[in-house]
Amino acid sequence: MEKACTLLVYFDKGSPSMANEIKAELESGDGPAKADAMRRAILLLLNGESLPHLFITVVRYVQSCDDHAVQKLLLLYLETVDKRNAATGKILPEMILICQNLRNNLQSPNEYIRGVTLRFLCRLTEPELLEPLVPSILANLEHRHHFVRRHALSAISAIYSLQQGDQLIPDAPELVERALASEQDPAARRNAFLMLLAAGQDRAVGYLFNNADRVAEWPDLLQMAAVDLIRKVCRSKGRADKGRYIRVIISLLSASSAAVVYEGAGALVSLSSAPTAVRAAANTYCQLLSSQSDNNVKLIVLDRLHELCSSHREVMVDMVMDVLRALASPNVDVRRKVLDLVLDLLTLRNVEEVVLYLKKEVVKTQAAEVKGDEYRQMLVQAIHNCAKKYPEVAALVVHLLMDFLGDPNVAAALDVVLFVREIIETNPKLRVSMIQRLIDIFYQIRASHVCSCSLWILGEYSLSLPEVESAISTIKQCLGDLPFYTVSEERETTDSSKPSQPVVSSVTVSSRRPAVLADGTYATQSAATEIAVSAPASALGSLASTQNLRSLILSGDFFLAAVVACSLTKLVLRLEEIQPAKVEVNKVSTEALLIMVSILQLGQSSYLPHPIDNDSYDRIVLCVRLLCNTGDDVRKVWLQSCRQSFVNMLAEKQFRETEEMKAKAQITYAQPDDLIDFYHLKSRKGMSQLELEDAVQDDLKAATGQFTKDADDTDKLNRILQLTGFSDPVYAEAFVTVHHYDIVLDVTVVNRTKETLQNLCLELATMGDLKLVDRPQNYTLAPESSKQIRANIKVSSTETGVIFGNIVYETSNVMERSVVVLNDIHIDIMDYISPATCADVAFRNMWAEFEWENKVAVNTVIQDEKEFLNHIIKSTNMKCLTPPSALDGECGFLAANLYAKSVFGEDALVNISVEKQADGKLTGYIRIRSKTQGIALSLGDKITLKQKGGNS
Amino acid sequence: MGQAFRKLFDAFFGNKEMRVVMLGLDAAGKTTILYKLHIGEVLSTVPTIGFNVEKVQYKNVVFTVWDVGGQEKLRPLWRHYFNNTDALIYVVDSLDRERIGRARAEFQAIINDPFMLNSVLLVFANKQDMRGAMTPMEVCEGLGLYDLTNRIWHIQGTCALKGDGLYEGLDWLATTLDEMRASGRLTSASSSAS
Repeated sequence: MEKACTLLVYFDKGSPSMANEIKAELESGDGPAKADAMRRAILLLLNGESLPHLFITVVRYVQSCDDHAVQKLLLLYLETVDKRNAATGKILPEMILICQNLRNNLQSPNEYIRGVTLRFLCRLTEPELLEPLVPSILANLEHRHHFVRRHALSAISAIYSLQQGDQLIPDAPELVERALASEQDPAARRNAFLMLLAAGQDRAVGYLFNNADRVAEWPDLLQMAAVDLIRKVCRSKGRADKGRYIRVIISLLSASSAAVVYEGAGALVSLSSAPTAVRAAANTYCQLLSSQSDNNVKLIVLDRLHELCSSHREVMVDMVMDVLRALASPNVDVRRKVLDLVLDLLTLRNVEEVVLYLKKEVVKTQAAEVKGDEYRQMLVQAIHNCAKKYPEVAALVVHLLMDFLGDPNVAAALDVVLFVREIIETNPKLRVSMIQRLIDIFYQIRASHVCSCSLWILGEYSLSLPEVESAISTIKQCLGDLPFYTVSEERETTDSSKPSQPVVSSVTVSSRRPAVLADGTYATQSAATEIAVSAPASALGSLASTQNLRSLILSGDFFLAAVVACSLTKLVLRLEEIQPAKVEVNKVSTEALLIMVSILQLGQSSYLPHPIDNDSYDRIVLCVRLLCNTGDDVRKVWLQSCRQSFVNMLAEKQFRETEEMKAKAQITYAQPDDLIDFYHLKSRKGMSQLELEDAVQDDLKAATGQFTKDADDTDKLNRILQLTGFSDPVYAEAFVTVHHYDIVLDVTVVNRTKETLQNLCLELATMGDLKLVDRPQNYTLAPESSKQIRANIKVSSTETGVIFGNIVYETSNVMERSVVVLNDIHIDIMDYISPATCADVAFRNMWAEFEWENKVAVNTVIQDEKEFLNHIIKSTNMKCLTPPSALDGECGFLAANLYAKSVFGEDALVNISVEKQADGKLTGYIRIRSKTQGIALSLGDKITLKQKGGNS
Repeated sequence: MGQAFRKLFDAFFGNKEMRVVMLGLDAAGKTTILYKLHIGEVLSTVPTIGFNVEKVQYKNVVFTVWDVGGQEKLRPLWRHYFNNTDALIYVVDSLDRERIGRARAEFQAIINDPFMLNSVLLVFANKQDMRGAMTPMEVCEGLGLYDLTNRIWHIQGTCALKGDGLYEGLDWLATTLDEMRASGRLTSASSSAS
């Protein structure tokens, strides 16, 4: 057993003179002086000094001191001091001197002294010291004060668990069982029960069953111990009494203590896979979710529910509305987790109910204007996901969501407009009402992106004559009167330019975050865009409320103007097909042309600080030319091919999602060779429904081998690293386990010599962001024996690290210390990184936001672009976000985005751009972006090493 | 001058301190004697494994008495109590005629330890109330007290259960301590190297 440490305090190195000072104070000082000396002695011991000659002084002069603080420090000292001979491992002879003092304490009239001494005995492991004290310990079982009884039970438990425990107190289980039967104090009962759990499991089980009817009334400490017992007992296979344990757990689920309820639910799930049991546990978790106000508790309970969802989805599906009620929490993290969980639980039967609930929540956020932004966006996205999976429910929510197209939160509005675009294609029945709604609400849209997408929808999906006419009318209304400016306005602006110079110059100084394209490259962007923000507002303030398109165009957004032109063109072309009166068509066409020409005039004038960009100009001119001279082929391109591309994109997306759902569904669908449900073949009288289901589940698990866990053992062998050679005096190998935040090295050390190795110490050092947690200890190895040493290393960020070190030891022959150098242990960054997915928009936002970029030039012998991409994906353990269809074909160049997350929650973004040269070689760059330097650098190094390909 | 007045004051009014170690074979009655002196009652005792230490106030002397277990396995540890000790109280079971030789051997080992050469020696011939007990004189001969040279010793017949003889022993110790300190003789030896 490792030495327990109750203090860990830094202390300066002692000196022999300090030891002498301590000794003098202990011999002749008063109470406080003795206490001070004891503290210093303890601190010196904790920092590695041995002070071998101090023990006698301590026991002679401190034991007689009546000061309770000194007595307490004495126990700490006895706990800390080394009680065994370092060479032989036997107990030091003088240690026996403390026995009488401990015995006297155990019979002290002061309950506190008795209690702390009993507690101290829990940490004493030497049978030579404990054996004389046993009668006194047992006598304390009947002390009148529960504080003493409680610790007596703990002491008996600790002693009995020692190697010689059954010889020291052979009848301990009987004594404790008897004490438990008559005990009233909750903590003492818990201690007694835990002792039986560890040392006399059958007695604990007997006690539990004898009192099964009253388990619900037990103190919560005892109930928690009962849950521990049940977990432990049922870990062994094929227990016949499992049904009775389940019944006890079920009654514990109604306990008053939330901790007991939580643990009981967890035990129930690990105990049984029966649907009734899982449902009971899920119900319990949902009640905790609504009754506990602490956000951390809610998050933990949601994690448990998530686990239930992955293992028992069909049962959890029925709980989805209970989970949704947790949205009442104001905490954003809790809400996000709830929504994620709910989306995993959707089925055709419950999706409508879920969507209606989410709809109500969205309506609530309209009242809370400012706070609800993020929550509203989450709800909108959740509804979007529901409608994508189950298009039938889109009708319920799409009209409500369209109210948010004018939302100040641009992200939420953008989500809505993308949702509308998708639904209007996949749900033709809703097209008419959605177009009408979009037309009605269009004037409220403020964001340029949302306007662009909305215009596209209007241009693409307005099919009937009234729809086309309404769309055109709406666009004209939002553009306001034409032309956009007059010569007189231009003159006025010129005259007032001088006074406004200072204002404009201050705006110009500010800079915007660079805009990032989907492929990770930077967009060309004019720094002068900002200048125009303030000028039109003053001139057109009165019109801003209804003429959103006019405001945006007059602020210099010519991209939007180009979109307006394209949409008008489509609408006019469609109007030509459905409008019988040619005069009307010509009239509308003329008006559209006027709008386009006005935009061009505006763009080329000096009214705005910068002119129209070439791309927008060309686009609008194309529209003008098209309306003046329409050919059939061009008409077909505009009216049919454009939509066809969108349909293909949606189909591709749908196909990918279907593939993923198929992979998931294969787990749950019944197959022809599925096991027959033996539920009805069982006839067990007296068994309840739950017990019967559980018995069936157990039989199935046994038959299909689910109880076997051989896979873990096989995997373990792969991670063993040899640290020294077979011919070295000390052979060492390490099993490396990488957990989330630390690395555990289980090092097996073998003494391969004929001599005893003393003071053997495993000294480790680290490079990178790794830190040793434990201080190395000294061991003694007999000839040919082995020792297991565990070292913990703390990891604080995702970086490739190296662990190296020595084994240092002494032999009896040589006075000097010998050293064996260990092989290096490399901790790979790949141990922390796992593939992850995110939306394109999120990828771009992160790329723009992250500070660290590492650029690696492509240098590889691989000559095929796709092969190179797959090689990088495999080497980095990242996920390719670019869909396979976008990578089809042989065009000589390739661009792809990769994404991964670390266990620390850090994001790693990678963009690969490669091009095949004339000589067949690949060139290009790989860019890595992350929020922290560690990932960017480590991942870059990794890619640099791995990218060459071939056999390396 | 302050120190001189201090010493004068203590001589008349202050308590003097004396460190005493009480040793002897197991079951001689050491612990019973200790607590009879300390609290005036007879406790039911179990064999001492380790030691007891109590302060006993008698007249103007505070005796710190260490009662160390007498079992054979504990005897090698007696030596840890020799330094800084003014007096030895050696307890003999007067009934135990068979082990008087053993008691003698242990006694001789103690008094010949370098740290004990200056200590005064008080022997308690315990259990004098029992029929068949050796007289103090017989114990004296058994331990070889008459052969001691240059040692200050005293033997006292005692009955721990009734308290007979205990305070007479302490009286002798106190008187002897006064005489020795008045004459300037050392009664204990100490070393920081122990």
